[in-house]
Amino acid sequence: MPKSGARASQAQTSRDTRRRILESARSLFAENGYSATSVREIARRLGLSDPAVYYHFSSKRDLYAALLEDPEYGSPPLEQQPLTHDSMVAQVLHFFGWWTARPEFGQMLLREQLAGEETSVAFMSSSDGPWHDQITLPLRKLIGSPGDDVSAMVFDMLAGVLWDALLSYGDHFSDSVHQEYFQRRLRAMVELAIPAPPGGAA
Amino acid sequence: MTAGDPPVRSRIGDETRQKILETARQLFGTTGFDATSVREIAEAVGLTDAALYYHFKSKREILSAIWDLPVEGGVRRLRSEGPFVPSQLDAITDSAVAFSVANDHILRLMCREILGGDQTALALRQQNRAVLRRTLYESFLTVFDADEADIRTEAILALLTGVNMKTQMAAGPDFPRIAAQPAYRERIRSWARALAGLEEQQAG
Repeated sequence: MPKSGARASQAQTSRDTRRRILESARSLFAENGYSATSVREIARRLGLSDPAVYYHFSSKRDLYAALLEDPEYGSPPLEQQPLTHDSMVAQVLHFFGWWTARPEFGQMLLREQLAGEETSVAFMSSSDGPWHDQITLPLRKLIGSPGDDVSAMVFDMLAGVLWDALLSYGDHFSDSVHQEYFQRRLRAMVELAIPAPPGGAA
Repeated sequence: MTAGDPPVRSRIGDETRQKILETARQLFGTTGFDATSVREIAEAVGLTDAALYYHFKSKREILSAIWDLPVEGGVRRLRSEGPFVPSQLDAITDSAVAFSVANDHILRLMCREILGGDQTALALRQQNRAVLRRTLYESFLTVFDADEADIRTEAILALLTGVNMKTQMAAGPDFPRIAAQPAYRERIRSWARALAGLEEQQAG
């Protein structure tokens, strides 16, 4: 147990535990699906008690929702750069890269969505959450009022790219999406979908 | 059951078989293959389990037969002589939406089974997409070079998958009603036109 006065380190430990719970849950959900995974299993795998998990997340659904709003999505390249067509494209590709790095999770999510599981279905929204903050808002700044519509279109197009790849490549997903050919086409599609800012200054 | 000669099917037998397949396709599509029992299918058709087993030896066999059912309406091949124009693109995306609506149940089932590793379902999906891809690509080739035709084709294919699947999953059984609304078709038309860049091509 941390000594009294070591509050900062205690907070750090708590954040670490929370992150470890999320990671454990992500891999268990990916292995067995959302419905077939219990909070107890998630806790067991980490050598924690059930209440220790419930201290951080009130329910399995709450845990799942937190997973879907993973802050590590971010580290947005935009923050260090001026907003241009190029940096906007890079931002979108960075966002998409989060998904291509986690095929098992993507498959699990798609399975739940196809089965109509509510939290998973609600997650397919471009109008709130990290996509809104990191893609829609900068797009609005870059190209003005059409930004919202373009953002929704890019979201759906990329959802289509991801689903097609998950369905077509199966076990070869990781190899396939990291090939230069796939990445080049993907970039070209995003460049095409995001119009140049008015004035053509980019 | 004995493994004798296959039964000589009467017309009534064929109709029953057809009814079993249609019902199973719907049930598998909404409830999922694993969660649907042979008994449920039999009940929905108005048969006993035994009568159903006369037509199909197993649930798997029903699924295999479903993959052989014709899918309704393909993408219309609208290749005319002149260069590709926006109204032709509209016709292609409209027919892709109509295809998703007409085959709502089987498309859901197909995706689920592909995720479970069913190779027949995967081959079927690839086949459907190949027709749409070829139609778009050949049309774009009348206006753009091969690279650009390829990217614009892929972008529109991905868009159609994304919008249709997302709506299908979010709307559940309401999908055919929602997708039949003019606003839905218009949104896809306008996004596909943006990705096609045909207007710019004509202006420039």
